[in-house]
Amino acid sequence: MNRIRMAIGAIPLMVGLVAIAPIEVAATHLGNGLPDPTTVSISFVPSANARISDRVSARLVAYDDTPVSQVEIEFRREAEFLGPRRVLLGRATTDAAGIAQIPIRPTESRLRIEARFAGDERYAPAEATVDVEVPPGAAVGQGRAFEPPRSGVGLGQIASVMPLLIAGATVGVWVVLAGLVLVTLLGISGRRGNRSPGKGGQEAPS
Amino acid sequence: MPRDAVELRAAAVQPMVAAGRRFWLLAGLLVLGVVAGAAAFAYQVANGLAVTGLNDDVFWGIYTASLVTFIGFSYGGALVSAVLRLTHASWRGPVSRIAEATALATILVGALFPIIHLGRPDRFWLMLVRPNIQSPIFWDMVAILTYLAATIILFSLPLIPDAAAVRDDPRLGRRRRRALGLLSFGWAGTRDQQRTLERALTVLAILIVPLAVVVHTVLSYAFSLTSRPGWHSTIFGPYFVIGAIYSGVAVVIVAALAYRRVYHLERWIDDRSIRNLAYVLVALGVAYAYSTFSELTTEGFVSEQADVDLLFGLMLARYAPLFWTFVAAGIVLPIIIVALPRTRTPPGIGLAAGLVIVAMFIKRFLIVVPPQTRPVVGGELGAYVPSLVELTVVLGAAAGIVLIVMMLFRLVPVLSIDEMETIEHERAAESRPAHRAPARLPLPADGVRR
Repeated sequence: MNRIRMAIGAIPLMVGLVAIAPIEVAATHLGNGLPDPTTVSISFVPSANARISDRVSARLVAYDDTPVSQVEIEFRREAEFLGPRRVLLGRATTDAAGIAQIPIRPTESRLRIEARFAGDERYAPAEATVDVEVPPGAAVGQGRAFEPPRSGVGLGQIASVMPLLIAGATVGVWVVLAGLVLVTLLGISGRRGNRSPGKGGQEAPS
Repeated sequence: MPRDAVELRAAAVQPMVAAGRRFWLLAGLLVLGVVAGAAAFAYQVANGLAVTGLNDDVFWGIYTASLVTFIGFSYGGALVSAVLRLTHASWRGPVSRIAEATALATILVGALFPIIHLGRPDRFWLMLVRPNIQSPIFWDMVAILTYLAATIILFSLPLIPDAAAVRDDPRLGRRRRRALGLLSFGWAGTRDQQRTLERALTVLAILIVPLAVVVHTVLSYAFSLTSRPGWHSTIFGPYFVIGAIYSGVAVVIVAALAYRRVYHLERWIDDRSIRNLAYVLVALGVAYAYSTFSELTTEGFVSEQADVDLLFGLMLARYAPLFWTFVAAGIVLPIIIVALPRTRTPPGIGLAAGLVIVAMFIKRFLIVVPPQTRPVVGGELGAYVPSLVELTVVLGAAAGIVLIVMMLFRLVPVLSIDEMETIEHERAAESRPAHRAPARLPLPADGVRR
């Protein structure tokens, strides 16, 4: 009996889900033999609940604003470690509404995220970037996974220090090698007295 | 001079004085190989990388595999010499010169491969004048050049007393005697000279161990600092280092056995040295097997699609014959051959080492090529088969390594005379009965111990 009641109760919910589900609209191709132009828009969707990840969402549409579904969007963020680079966050496939999204847990208070569609035989590539500001105070209070920046020191600054350290170490090794050869050769060619006994060895140079 | 010392000198200069028809025939064939390789490279420079099997998907091929392999050989040779010196292994004497020579020959040839791989080799110059310090390739170049310098010194310094030992041998001819005289820097075997050289070699041995680790780790970074599945791995640094020593020790074994057999040096390069090298080989083989297992298991267990595709291709599909050849010839067979007393003979150990050399080249090919065949942004699986031009260049380089070793031992003694004599001297001193203090002091005259 309970099962029947639950099933009846679920009907309005299912109807509601169907009602809000996006309807797929197939894009009309230009038919000029070239991939159709596309546009991608990107947004950061913060989570109200610290236990649930934030999301980055990208929407891909064709030239006539119809959604492009079942294609892969690549998400990258700008990072600084030994200089600026773009780090892959993840990939997702667009749904019927042209939306692809991935979960993200910001580890910095400021992020620049890029969504990129590589293009295929039907659609031309597109990309977009969004700058995200995550308020540090609120974020830390909510148990997010980053610490607020301290006095402007960041990983990016390793970029200027590391090469110097490595270059210093390299120069140090070369100096040691050169010094070793020099000291050894001077030591050997300058000291000829005091022959070692016991090893039936070399004759003294004439 | 004791009879042993005379015989040791005579044995050490054997390859310098006894080059028969077979030697020159082999040298001629190797020169042909080198010339063919150089011609293939010239053809590649004239026609561009289109004459190779490289393509949009697979942009690193057999040249990169050769770079990793040859530099790995070098690393093993240098470490055998350095580590055995630091640990005072008494069996190192007969093999240390061969280890240093193989280290030098393989780094000289291996270091050429980044340039061979360039479509425009002249642009190598730009690495020097406009370096990109964020690029692992730049630091690769710095590390390899530094290691090359250290290897040249590691080969040259121990030669000083040996050059002095044989510089007066009348069989060597005037020019070589004069060259050896210059190379000996007036060595007379004094205590001060010995102390100076010993100290320098110890410092160098200490220096070359981390240097070689750095070189191979930086080389592994060229792969692991990318986000490509199959390359992006935290284990790659140590994995490359272990693989390098493993294959390098195998090269030392093969070279030592070859010289021992051709020049009848069995008395000097004795079974004990070869057997101990084989034990080192097996220990490294087990470590490499463990690293391979760890690498593949962590990738396979998480089962991200890209990793699964790669493992499937490696173990069950396109690259399976190569992969299982590597497992059998590079790990299982060498370990079994050395583990069984019946096959742990010089020919058996030589076979095991030869298998390791071939299998480790295959392994480097498998590290470099399969991860690139899976496209990162979609599309079909890529493919790569090395072209005849690439194969000729690589074979020419391999011929060049053997040729350099052969020519080095036409110029310098194959055995480390001074080191072997020093070890023998120390052994004799240790075996001499030491003066012992009486167990109890004699009692005083009055018989009372106070």
